[in-house]
Amino acid sequence: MLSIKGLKANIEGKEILKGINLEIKAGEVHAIMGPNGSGKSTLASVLAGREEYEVTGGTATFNGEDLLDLAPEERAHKGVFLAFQYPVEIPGVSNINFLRTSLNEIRKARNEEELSAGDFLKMVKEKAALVDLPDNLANRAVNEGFSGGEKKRNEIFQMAMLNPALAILDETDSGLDIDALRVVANGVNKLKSPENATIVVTHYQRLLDYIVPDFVHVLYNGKIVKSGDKSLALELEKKGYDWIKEENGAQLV
Amino acid sequence: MLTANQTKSFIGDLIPNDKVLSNSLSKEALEILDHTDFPDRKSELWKYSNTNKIKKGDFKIIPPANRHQNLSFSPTQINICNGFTELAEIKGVDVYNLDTISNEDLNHVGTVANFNRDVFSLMHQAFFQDVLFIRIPSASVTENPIQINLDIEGSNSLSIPRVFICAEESSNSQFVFNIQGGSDKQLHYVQVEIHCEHHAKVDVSLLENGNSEFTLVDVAANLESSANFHINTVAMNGNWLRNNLDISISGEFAHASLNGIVMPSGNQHIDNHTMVHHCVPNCTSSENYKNVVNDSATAIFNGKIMVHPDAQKTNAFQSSSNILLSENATVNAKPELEIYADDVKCSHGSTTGRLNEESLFYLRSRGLSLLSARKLLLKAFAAEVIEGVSIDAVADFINLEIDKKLI
Repeated sequence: MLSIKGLKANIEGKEILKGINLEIKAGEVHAIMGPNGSGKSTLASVLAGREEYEVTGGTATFNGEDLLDLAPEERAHKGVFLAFQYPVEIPGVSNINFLRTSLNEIRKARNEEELSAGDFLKMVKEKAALVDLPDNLANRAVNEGFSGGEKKRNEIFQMAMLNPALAILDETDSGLDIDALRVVANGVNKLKSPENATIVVTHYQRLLDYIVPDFVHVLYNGKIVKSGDKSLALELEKKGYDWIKEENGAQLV
Repeated sequence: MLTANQTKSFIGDLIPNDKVLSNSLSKEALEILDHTDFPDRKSELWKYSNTNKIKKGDFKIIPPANRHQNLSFSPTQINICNGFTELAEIKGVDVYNLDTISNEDLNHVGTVANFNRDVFSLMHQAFFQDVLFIRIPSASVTENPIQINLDIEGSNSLSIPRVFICAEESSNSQFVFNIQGGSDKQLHYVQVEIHCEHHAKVDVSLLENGNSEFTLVDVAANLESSANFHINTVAMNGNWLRNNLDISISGEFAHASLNGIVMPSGNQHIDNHTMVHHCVPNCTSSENYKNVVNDSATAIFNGKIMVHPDAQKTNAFQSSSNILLSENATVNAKPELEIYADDVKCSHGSTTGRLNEESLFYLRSRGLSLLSARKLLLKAFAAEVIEGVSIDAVADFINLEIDKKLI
């Protein structure tokens, strides 16, 4: 589904990604871990099309198409979804109005008919239940005044509504207490299918207790330095990241 | 004297109307005009809007032609073209033009506005050729909003329509001023005076969509005790447009609110000056202007709240927020407070910025095109003003115009 080869990216002239290789097939869950500043969020942002990042080398092909050539909205139309680490508050735009516009623009791009108001509201009710999103949050302005947990739940709610082929969860666990974490993870698990894939970007192993990955990759200094199965995450939890850094030639103080 | 000569050439061969001159203020204005300077860039009131080109204009009043009105916000409409009123009957409301107005009513014209503000207001008071006088009888409610279409036609045309509204005690009325105009060399100068008696409620939508070379709009309102006056300025187009709102709160427990959504594009220049006088205690006012400036356009907001010495317990609020959509767009924002009472609550503020990049990316990552994302954010920006619009057709119009402004 997604094939990344030698991907390099800069922000403001500083190289953050220094040659990423990653193959993701439908039905798989990949976890990307790594210490602070290793480039995890950059990778998520580059895949979603954030314009501050400049891709300087390599390729990312999504279902045979050059992903890096597409505008952010075109990526969404093809089925790429980024759950933001810091979801944006947009006063004055109602969550529901936003989602209906979003869903219909995606359907239009796919030559599908727009959803009727009735079907849309039925879907909202069904998907909101998936992440225990209270009714009033759906009707409020996008993320405005939401708690940290509510914002993350709202991200997964949007993901449920848009049903993406590839979901990228950028530090979705950050700022969540254990109950909220369980609710969010539960939502993600219910959305899993043999047709879609998930990239879970996380700092801690904790989230992976609930969203069990098929593969774990360790990102360090802009490269994937180690890949393995879920046991790699447990090893990292026990030993920390220092041994990864040492293996890769960092000078430890 | 040089300046008097400039005023003379500006006035050209305009002839005052005899009946209008029976109004003592008009007679006085004519005399004062004789020795009145033209405003220049040093004049604080006209600092950002250059009147130089206007005084060189050669504008004439010409008879109205067939007008074509295509915006409808209400079944109740009155047409004014080139300054001349087409009389229409409105159930339950008194409507007069210059032919039918009594001398007593004509003498009210000029009493709400400050006719001696500058050469323009003097010119209007001295030379207006017709009037639309509307009286909303006490305790009555207008069935539909009264839509007043103000149009100007012809080249080198001068239109100086005069509207006077008297909202009697405890009446409740809504007005839509639909100001049109071609793109020709025209000077369209609209003067509206609104007298709100005790407990009267008046709601005004000022829609500006013409593109005459010069458009000036003065709206003056006087609020007696417990009156409630609300005005929404919707300035979507205007080659060179200047609005002067002059609100005088002269009775206790009255409230005025002034909102604006202003969207110049291309080379348009839209200037909003507002003045709110708090003359007596226990009154409130609020002001919320939103400028969205595209291309090489300019928007100006100069709002002043004046709290006079007796006006204790005044609560006044003013905000101007601005979005620049292009590198060459300009905003001049000048919120002002002048307070001579010591027990008041007043605040003002102004912000200027671009559409939030992070919000745009968030919306696009959910499948919205850049254009839909911009439109959605602009409507959200305008939402505070749109929510204050009581006439649905006007709110719909604003949303449509925002869509049209962004292509």
